Amino acid sequence: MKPFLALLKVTFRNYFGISVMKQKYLVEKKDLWQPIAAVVGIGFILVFFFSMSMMFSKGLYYVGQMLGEPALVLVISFIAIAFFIFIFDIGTIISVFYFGRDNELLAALPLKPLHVLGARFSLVMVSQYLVQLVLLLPPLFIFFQGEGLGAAYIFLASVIFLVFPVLPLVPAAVLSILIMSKARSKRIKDTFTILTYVISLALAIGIQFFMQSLPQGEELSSLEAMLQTHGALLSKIGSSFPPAIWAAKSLAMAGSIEGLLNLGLFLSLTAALVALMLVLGNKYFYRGLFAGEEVAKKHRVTNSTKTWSRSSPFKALLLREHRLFLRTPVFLMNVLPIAVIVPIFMLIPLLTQGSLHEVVSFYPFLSKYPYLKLGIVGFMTFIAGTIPLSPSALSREGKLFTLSQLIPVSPREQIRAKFWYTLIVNFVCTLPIFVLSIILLHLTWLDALMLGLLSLSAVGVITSLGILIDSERPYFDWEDPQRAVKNNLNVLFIMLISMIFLAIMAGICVGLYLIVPWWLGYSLLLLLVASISAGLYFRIQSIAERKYRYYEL
Amino acid sequence: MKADFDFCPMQSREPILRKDKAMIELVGVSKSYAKGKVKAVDDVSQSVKAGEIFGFLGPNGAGKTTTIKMIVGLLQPDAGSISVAGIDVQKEPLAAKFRIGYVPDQPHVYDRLTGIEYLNFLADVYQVPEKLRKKRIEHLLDIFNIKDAIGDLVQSYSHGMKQKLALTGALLHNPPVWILDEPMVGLDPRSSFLLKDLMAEHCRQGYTVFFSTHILEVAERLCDRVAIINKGKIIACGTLDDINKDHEKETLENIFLELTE
Repeated sequence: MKPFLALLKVTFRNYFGISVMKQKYLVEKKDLWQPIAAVVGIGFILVFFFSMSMMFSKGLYYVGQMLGEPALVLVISFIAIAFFIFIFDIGTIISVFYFGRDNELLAALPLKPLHVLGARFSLVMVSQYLVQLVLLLPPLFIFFQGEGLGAAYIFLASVIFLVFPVLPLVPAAVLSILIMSKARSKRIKDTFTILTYVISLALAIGIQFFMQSLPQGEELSSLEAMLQTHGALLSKIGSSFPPAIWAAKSLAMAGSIEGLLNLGLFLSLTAALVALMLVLGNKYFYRGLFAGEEVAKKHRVTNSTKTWSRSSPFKALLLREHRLFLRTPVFLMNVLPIAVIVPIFMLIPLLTQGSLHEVVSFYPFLSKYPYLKLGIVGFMTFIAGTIPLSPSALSREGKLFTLSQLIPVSPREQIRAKFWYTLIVNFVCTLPIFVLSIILLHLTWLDALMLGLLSLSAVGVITSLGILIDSERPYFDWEDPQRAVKNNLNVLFIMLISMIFLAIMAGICVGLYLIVPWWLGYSLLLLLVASISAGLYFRIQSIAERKYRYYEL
Repeated sequence: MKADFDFCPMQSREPILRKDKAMIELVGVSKSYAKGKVKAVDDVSQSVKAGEIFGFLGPNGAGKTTTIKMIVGLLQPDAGSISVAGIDVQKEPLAAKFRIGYVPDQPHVYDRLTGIEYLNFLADVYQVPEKLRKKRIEHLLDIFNIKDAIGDLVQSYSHGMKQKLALTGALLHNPPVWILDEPMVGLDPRSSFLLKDLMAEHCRQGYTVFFSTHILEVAERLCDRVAIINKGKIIACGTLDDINKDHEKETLENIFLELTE
């Protein structure tokens, strides 16, 4: 047990950069604004999603009450959160389990595979508590408040809160261990990683289809009707996902023998799941972990004239960005789904609910209030703000950023290559939304041109802002690529900043609407956004020139 | 910035630099960490001439890598100045980089590029002409015996192969100044021998090699001059004969042990 605890401690320190933060913020007292900004940023996001979740939980609680089963809010929340975590964190599991840089180091130590696996699993599990804070705490609190429960409930809810991530994470972990154990090379490992992401994406789309198949705006009442026709809700759901009902019953009957029995069932299942994972992990984990570590024996011959063709340094830098992005599954799959999933989510209501007539009924409004069309630009800008490419433009290079510092290409030119590549990807990712909106809203080519130029400029602003943030606080010292894009606070900052930018732009649009005709308003807005974009473009170059060589890795 | 290849043309191998010219010059260079509490390099002044193989020795944590990183422009000194081939590294970093071939102790290579993509990337940024790059890359790949693996992803390479690829990448623009941090680590005996040969040949042409090593035999056999650094200060410098005379010891190993005790 002692070696495992030591490993656990080191894994946490290393992954969350605890020692680095201590040294930087407590000993050297450097960049103290960073933790403050992080707390404010995370706090803002948490409060926003927490309030949304509270509202939904309240609604669900009332439906349950009407059905005479108030624990409905708990059961449905447990199931929904379990699915959410399973779908969105299978990628994190693969990344943390298989793409760490300390694999060889740990394998050489007198540790069992299950120790390494257990430590890495604990890491993913602890990361989930933040998600649960937003998603699980509200239903637990609403139920507590509604039913007027006491200390026993608080204790049991805390236990369930702590143990709950095991339910979705163990199946995701077992799936990835089994899949990866079949990988025989790093290339296949990458393919499996992408495949897993695609499966989770398909599941997310499937769930969205189901949600949209409920009548819009009446989800809760239709759920109620559905439940009434299908008999007792709790036993119905209990038969398909028993742990949710055990957890709900243990809370609803807190302090009673039946409650304790249900808690016992829930905890036994989670313990059994962890045991299963560790047993399988002990046997198969290292197989996948070291797949492809051996030196390749088959070599591909490269002797075409194309091999030696010369490119300009700028083109070479663009190509480098492109290749590293496409060939790192974690980078690709944190970006590509945005291009796929958003347009599909836009189309699903039209396909499942036949809401096309609602879109048609919107046409007269658009003719009367052309400023409304700017909503497309706003939406594209918002989506661009969620793409983690620009706020990780430098960070993604990791420790190999040293190479960028060594090459005889000016930082100005290097950042230009990063900007253009990121702008292209950001714009391409938001393009399906644009095309879909133009088609659905029957916009003219002139509209398309104006909105297209505006979107490009606005995406340019977001791209530059993202790079600017990353230039100010690059994160090179990551262990697995997931941390560079998903666990990078810069991604959160650009989301917040893009929302602030959008709010300011919306205010300006309202002002323009009040004083100038739409065509002049469009032109002025384009001029403004393009100027900001150009200004930021030059700003990131001068910052790069000033900072590039001072980053100490 | 246009590459200036005339100073080290591939075709012409004649020495073009005067033997007495300083190719690397450090004047009063210092670097501290932890807000000045730890002095990694303390007021170091050192000159390395054209045509010289210069060995940089010292125990772990003595300041070798910090000094090297400052020479190649990866770290900025707190005080002092550094020039390479007569160019101030702080004032004209790009011009200096064109003249340096640097290989770190841990090879900097992109795992997700193929070997040839990596080399072409470097050839592009160093602006090596097409014909020259083919000739140069093939020559170096032959020397290091990794020609067959060049189409594979770097992630499938062994540590030694990555080191050879990094060496090829650093030398393909034929820089006059080679700066190698522990270059023999990870190389097989054949490649190690050939690298030493390359280093000697490079210096015979009037160029400069500055390298750090822990293998004192290599330093003894290869270097024209050596410097020993300890706790951030140069504590001995000169030809091996000079150092031997000063310390009345028979081997460099004994001198090293005595000085760094």
